[in-house]
Amino acid sequence: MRRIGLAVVLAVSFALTPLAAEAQQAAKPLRIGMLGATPIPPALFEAFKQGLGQFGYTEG
Amino acid sequence: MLSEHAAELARLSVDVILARGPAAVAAAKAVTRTIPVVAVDLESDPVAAGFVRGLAQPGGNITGVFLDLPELSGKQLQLLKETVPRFSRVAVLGDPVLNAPQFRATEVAARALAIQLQSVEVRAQKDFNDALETAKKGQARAVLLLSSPLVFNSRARIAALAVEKRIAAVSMFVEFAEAGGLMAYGPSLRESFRRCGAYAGKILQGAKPGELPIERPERFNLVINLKTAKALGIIIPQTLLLRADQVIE
Repeated sequence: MRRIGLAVVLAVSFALTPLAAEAQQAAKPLRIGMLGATPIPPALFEAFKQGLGQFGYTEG
Repeated sequence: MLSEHAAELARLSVDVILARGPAAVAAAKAVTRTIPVVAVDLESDPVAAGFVRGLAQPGGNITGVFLDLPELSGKQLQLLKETVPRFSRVAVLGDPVLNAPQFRATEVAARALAIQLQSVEVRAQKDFNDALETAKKGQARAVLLLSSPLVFNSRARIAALAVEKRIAAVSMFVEFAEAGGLMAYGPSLRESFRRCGAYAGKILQGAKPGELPIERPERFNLVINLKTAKALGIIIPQTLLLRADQVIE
């Protein structure tokens, strides 16, 4: 996660796979904006990333 | 503050927004109708709040995990019924504005279980003493605490006051039982956030949020504080202890 101005953003990228169509997606930078009244607790942030990981996305 | 953060995310035109809690979902809704919003909100009725058109077909740019409020209240009341001898009356503590959907949901659940309900307003930490005193005078042997940041932050104080006034208390927050409250029963937040991650993954792969049905938390955690039960002179049935995810001795 990083801060851009006021916003907190999680950058994710698609893990490379041998499939050409999916590999193309990897080139595209993707950003998830985090919005909440308080900072997200680390355990819940990890759980969120786990869910993203099920679809092939990893942080960075 | 949230609205400024939301506006900044809209300006950056991020690919997805993860909005935590009713205020964040409302702030995201106010700034964009195009950026997909994945919500995790355990306090709103998403249709009544105007976040989505329907549960199966949200229809707009918002989807995510929302709690079935009457279902949770019903289960919490059922737990009190199994725990508190001669339980026929419950006091429900909450903020009349913030917790309006939960007050309504709890009334529905109480009626179904033939339990009399007394609504007691709390707006600030200083209100809990009087609120529990009111509950006690109203012959309520148990209180159900509606969820809010106020309850979460005041959990240790509420737990101590409830023991002092010999009232059984249940909250959605695991931390409430850990802080000395009798029982906690609520959705697993980790599971809810994992599912939000899956929503975001699907959307990044091209799914439309308006076509992804609202999901309800499926895993619930039950935490029982036996020390508090002992202090209240309550005997927790063995069947309940076996169902608990955590028992605090």
